[in-house]
Amino acid sequence: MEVLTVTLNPALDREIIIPYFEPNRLHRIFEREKMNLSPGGKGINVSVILSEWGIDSVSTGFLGGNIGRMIEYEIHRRYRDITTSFVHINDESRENIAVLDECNHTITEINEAGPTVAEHDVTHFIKVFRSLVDYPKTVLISGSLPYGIPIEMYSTLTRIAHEKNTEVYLEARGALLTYSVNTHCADIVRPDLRSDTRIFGKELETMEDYIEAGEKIIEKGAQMVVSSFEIVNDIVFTKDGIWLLSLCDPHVDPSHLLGSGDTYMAAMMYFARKNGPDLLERAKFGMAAALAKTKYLFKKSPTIEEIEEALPKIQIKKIKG
Amino acid sequence: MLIKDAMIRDVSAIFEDEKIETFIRISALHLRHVLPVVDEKMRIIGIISEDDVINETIPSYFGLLQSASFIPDTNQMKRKLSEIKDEPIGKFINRNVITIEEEDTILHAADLLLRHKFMNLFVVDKDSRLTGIINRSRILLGVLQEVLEEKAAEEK
Repeated sequence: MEVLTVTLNPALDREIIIPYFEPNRLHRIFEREKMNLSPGGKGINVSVILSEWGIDSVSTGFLGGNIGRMIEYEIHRRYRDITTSFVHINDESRENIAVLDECNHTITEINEAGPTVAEHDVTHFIKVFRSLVDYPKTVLISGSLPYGIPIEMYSTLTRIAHEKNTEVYLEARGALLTYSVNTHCADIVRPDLRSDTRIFGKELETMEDYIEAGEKIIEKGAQMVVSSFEIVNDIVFTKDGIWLLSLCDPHVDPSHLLGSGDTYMAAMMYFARKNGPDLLERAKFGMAAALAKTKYLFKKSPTIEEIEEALPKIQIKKIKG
Repeated sequence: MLIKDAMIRDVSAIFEDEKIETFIRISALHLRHVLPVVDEKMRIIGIISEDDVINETIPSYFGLLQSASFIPDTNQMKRKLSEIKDEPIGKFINRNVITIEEEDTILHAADLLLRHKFMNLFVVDKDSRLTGIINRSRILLGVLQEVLEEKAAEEK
């Protein structure tokens, strides 16, 4: 097994296509293909993308109730390359519903908060994680924490992985990201800035703010920080310098960015496995994957060929170091 | 057909130092009658089943009786369970575990299941690390699939 992905708050994603969707009306769906049910949550998404590129992974976290069993069943039914090792809990896992209306061009999303995890399940999970992390070369920790999980969870997992010399990728946001970086920093960090642009208690606005935050994460021990900047740019930080990665043609439909962060992370892991440890090239490949992904509206990953085609569309400028 | 084509890739497991209470909770929530017991490197060291725990909670002379229905004392089971619920499962596991590898055939698995009256078998790699589980219905489903595929090929 090459990769271990951690999703503490998975979801069953239900996408429904309804033309001219409006409230206070009965909508009947007659065609099966207008509804799509898929396992979700950021770590699981990365496992799914890796599976489509032929890379095995183990996926762990918490699942609960019948929704949880459906998530697990769907993973097994669809993806041969994903091994599951979830802790089953008493509370029900969440379900996220997205109504896609291609006629009115709207997306209506209803996301549940998710379960509360009991303390004894957290204890069991740490044991499971410790035995799973012995094998893979890389661990990905991504997404939010469900209720009941202490904020130090990500730094605890990172510390255990580091004891086994396993490289850790982390994508998280806000206070959780800040805490995790401060306490025991992961190797590759991608701040999730979609709904919260605060790191170290400070709102990021100017490019200087982004640079200050990125440099601080490197100081805390990260090998590389990849931060998106003004949607079409990325700032990449390593110990050797800071680079701005931008698109030659900056026209990207922002509604197609759904899931591009997960594609970015998966692509960096794919690149490292195939081509070795070069950090900047790894980030560039990740950005090319995210760009190639914008061709697709829904949760669908680009092929490796499509990513390679997108590579020349990215320019790199060194801004410091 | 090989095990790797029919198995369920799930490595849910329990550890030797965890409590009977934890086993009961996991097996109930995960709908599993048997759980593999693994070490800190995911190597399988034994199995523990619901039967193992039930056997510990009922009086040993029950096996000698035709029926236990005339004994009104259900408190005995409660009492015994409250005694052992915090004990580590290590005391109750079966360490003579029979496993199977991904490259084995499902015929071999079917033979083992019948011979030992198992409901399922755990799949391991060369280093005894757990990689999944195979049960009777997955074996039947695998064979059925092959039958149907061959039939479809003949009709072409």
